[in-house]
Amino acid sequence: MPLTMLSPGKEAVINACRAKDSTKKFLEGLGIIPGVSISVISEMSGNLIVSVKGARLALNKGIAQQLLVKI
Amino acid sequence: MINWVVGGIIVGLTIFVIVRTILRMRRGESTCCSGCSKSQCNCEHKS
Amino acid sequence: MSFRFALVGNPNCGKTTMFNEMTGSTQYVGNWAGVTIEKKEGKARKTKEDIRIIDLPGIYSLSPYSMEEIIARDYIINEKPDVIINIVDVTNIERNLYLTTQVMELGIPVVVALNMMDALEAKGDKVDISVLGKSLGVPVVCTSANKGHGISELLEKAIQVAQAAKGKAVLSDIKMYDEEIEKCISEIEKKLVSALKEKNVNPRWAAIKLLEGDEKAKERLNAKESLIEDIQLYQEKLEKHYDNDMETVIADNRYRFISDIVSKAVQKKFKGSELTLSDKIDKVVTHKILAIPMFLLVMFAVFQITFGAVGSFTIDWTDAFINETVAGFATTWLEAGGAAEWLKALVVEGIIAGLGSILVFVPQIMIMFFFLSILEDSGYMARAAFVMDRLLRKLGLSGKSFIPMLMGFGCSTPAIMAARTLENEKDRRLTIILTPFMSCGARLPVYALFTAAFFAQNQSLVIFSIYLLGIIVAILSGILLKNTVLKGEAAPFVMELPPYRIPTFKGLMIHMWDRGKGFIKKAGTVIFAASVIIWFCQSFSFSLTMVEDASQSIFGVVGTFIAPFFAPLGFGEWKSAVALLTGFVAKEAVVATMGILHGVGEVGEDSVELAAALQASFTPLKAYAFMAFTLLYMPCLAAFAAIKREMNSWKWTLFTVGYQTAAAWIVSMLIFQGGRLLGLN
Repeated sequence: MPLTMLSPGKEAVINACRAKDSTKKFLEGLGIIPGVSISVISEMSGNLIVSVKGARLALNKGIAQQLLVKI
Repeated sequence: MINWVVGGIIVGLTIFVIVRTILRMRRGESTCCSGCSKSQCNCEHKS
Repeated sequence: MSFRFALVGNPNCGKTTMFNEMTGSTQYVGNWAGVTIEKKEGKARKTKEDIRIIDLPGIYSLSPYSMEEIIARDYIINEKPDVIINIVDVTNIERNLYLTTQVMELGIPVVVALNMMDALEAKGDKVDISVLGKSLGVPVVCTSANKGHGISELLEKAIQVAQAAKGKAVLSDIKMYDEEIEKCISEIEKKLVSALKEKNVNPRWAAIKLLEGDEKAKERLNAKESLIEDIQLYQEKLEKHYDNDMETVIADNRYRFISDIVSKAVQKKFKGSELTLSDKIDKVVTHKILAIPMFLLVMFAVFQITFGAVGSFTIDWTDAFINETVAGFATTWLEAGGAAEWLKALVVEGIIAGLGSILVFVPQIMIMFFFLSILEDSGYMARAAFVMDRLLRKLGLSGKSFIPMLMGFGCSTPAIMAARTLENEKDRRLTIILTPFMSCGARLPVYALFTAAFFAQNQSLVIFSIYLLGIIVAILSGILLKNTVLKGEAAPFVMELPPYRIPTFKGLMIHMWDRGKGFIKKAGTVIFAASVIIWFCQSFSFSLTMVEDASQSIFGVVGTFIAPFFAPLGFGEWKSAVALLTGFVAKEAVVATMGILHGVGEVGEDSVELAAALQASFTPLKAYAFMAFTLLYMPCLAAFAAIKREMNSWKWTLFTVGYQTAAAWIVSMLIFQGGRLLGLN
């Protein structure tokens, strides 16, 4: 399911990233790759603050929809 | 006497400032100084 | 011996703080990602050897994604520093080490600085640096740059490493990938050694990059077609094996290597994922409904303090000092020296009146930036960017544009340059066009002057409304331009949010002092020259004879000629027209011109307060329209040059300033004519 469906406070594992190549590379640098656990800290009209590897990242809705996670 | 000395200094300084500003702008440096504390500005540091 | 050390690390990991500690300079440090966008060089103090420190923009990886990453990567690869000092934010070690794994492969000696050790110790965690150093195969030093701890050890270590390496490539023998990948890498490496002998690059790095299919690296290595095809076979084989694309596989391998090291070297006191204090604050400040009102409230509070009692007090004091003490002294001294009338007029009515009318506002500006620095350093502004993303996205911009725009409140020129961090060209252009609508510090004296004269009761509210007006015009312009000349999708927004930090007193003082110093410096140079010229133009006619009546002067004639253009906006008299014209040099010059033209600084019987003089020719409504025009019309010369440079096109530059001036005219006209219809004065 897309990351946008994950409710705040829940943890999940990233399954795949459907973003275009350059964005994907950037996300890899930030620690967003398949197999990493991710949790949603807060949500604001689709935009998310997530926790990945201990860092807090702000993602907009568009990117969050392209990230697939499984619980 | 004082007219020429003080007047000369003022005019000289004015020309110096104008020339320097133009040269800086040509070199592509920032000439903004008020509020120029961001690291991108070249006001403080010329190394 | 002389060496060059490059500081490399993730954004916001403390590189600039480290740079300042090493070189003794006072570079701007902010608590958000991307404060440094150009490389900076400085000389290390307290070392015997001649050492140049290069501060590079923060990067997450060596795969370039945006402009600043390209700058950093190009520097490392092309200039080959003697040692790379890789700064690692130890509170976020797993993510930070990702860059380390890439830097290690370059063949340049690396020293890892585990920074922010104090923050880690405060959390109760522990790091075993000998285990870490051994597993990474590079020396590791603990530092706390903000406290100045560990800096000299770090430099010593780096010097040792540099001396040991003596410019030769050091090859790390750490194997971080799976066996299959390692096998392919070493096979490709062998082929490359013969194929790329003259290229002076580390073959292992080249092998990995080519295997990953990095386009930029391919271009740089200029490898033969046959070789590329050969490598493609390996890539396909591995992709099939892992059932994933090569890049992801390599990234995954790196992260697994890191997790392995971290689990051995780091002891965490608290495991699990309970919310930290930062998270709890975030829940409040990024609240669905309250976030934007809260942001506005915070900003309003800043204005209230700056232009309330505290600020006004400083103005009265500095005003008295400049216009009475300094002007009085200058008059006496010049008279005693037997100076001619024209010289007296030049000094007192030109320079002192022009500079004085601006310097009056220095303390107020410093107070304002003191509070804005608190917001920046604490980490709140990065959240504001996240909150604003929703709003900006409606204009077709991403939250990333917020940072240049935010910097625009300081000075438009660096803000326009900061737009480079945007990857998408259309976003960058739009951001450059909109950034000058954010009211910069140089425009503040204009508002301070006019609000003190016309809106003394609610000065802060009126100035706040001017700032908001700038934002609103930017929003409307964004919608307009996005639907006409700059159509396109907004780039995705991903940004790291720094943890909240309590700003240090020293940091705040540096920010405030920088502002004040910059402001005074500009007054002493550009505004000084402008004042002399303004005085000349209002005292002499075109035939270069001194005139009694200023309306016969050069400015009088020019002003009268262009004044009708401003008549529909309510300020169609020549003095205002000229003031706006000089504002193109620097926006403060508007105030300087007003000061000179209205004869401030003349000590004696006919001495007039600038505020009183303005009240004679403006009404509150006209004053507001005038402020709006000053806010919106084309930015100063320096910003204009920056726009030209960043747009790299005359067409776009002229479009930008033309659009801004048109917007200023229309908005001011609407304010004045609309206000009159409503019966305002």
